[in-house]
Amino acid sequence: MSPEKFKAEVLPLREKLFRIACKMLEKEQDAEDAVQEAYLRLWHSRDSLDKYESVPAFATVVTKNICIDRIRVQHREEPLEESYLQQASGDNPHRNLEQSDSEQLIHRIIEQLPPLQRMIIQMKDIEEMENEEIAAITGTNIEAVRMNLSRARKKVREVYLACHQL
Amino acid sequence: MKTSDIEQLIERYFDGETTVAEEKKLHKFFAQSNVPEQFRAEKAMFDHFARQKTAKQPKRAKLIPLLMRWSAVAAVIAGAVWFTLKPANDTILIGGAGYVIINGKIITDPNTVQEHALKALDDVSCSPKKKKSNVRSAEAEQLMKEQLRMFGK
Repeated sequence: MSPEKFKAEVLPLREKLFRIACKMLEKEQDAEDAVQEAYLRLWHSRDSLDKYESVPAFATVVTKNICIDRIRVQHREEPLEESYLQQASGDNPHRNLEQSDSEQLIHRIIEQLPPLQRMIIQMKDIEEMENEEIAAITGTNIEAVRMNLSRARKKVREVYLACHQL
Repeated sequence: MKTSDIEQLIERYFDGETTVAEEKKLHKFFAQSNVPEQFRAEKAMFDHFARQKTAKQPKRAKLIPLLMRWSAVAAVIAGAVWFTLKPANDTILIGGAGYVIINGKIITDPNTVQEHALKALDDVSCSPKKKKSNVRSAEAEQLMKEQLRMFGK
């Protein structure tokens, strides 16, 4: 599916997807994030979107699955911060060796970010897209993109420094 | 770039406010080996992003050598065709209407024609081997004599 076709056929579904997300998640902000994530996933798989009989139905499934994942994360007992440190620093015999490799550590921290933040950091810091471009793809405003990007970058730095203090 | 400028840019980077162009400046700064210790987390992040960007390029990197390989093949074929078809550097063909062809160019200047005709005739008379290589047939020799007659020699 071409970017033009994506914008013409997938972006108009945003309102419907947002309503679905609002019903499944309690907070509007969470619903907004879920829809942004859904759009980024749809964007990255746009080459294969044409094979689906109904793109709106597929977009709905993607959004619902993201909402379910978010509900599961919300019900996790352990605080997110601890989970980050545990996963990022590792709990295996090679821990010290891996920690010495700063880039590897950053990679692992990014892998542990929430999917939306991970995708935004990937698009901005690796694929070199401007905030405006990401906002256009997700059908959201630039401020929402900036906010998620800021959270993602700050989280990576925070966890990295925390891991080095362990 | 001053440290204060870098600090300001880093702050804006973590607020998600920097443009791609500004982030390239940060990439350049963190690519240095003597980055202050206070920026170790930022350096690790930018090093990681730089490596990821490089890792995303192998398709393009592979494409270039492939194009170069095919270009080299095309160049060899073109060269072979050119060498086959072009007149040799020392090939001098003498026509019957007062002209010579040197390296594929038609020369009609009477003096040049005469000079080459005499030289060719000299080659023929001094060495039977040269005669065989430079003058393709007795007919060509005859042509040269006619040329000389035409110029009154």
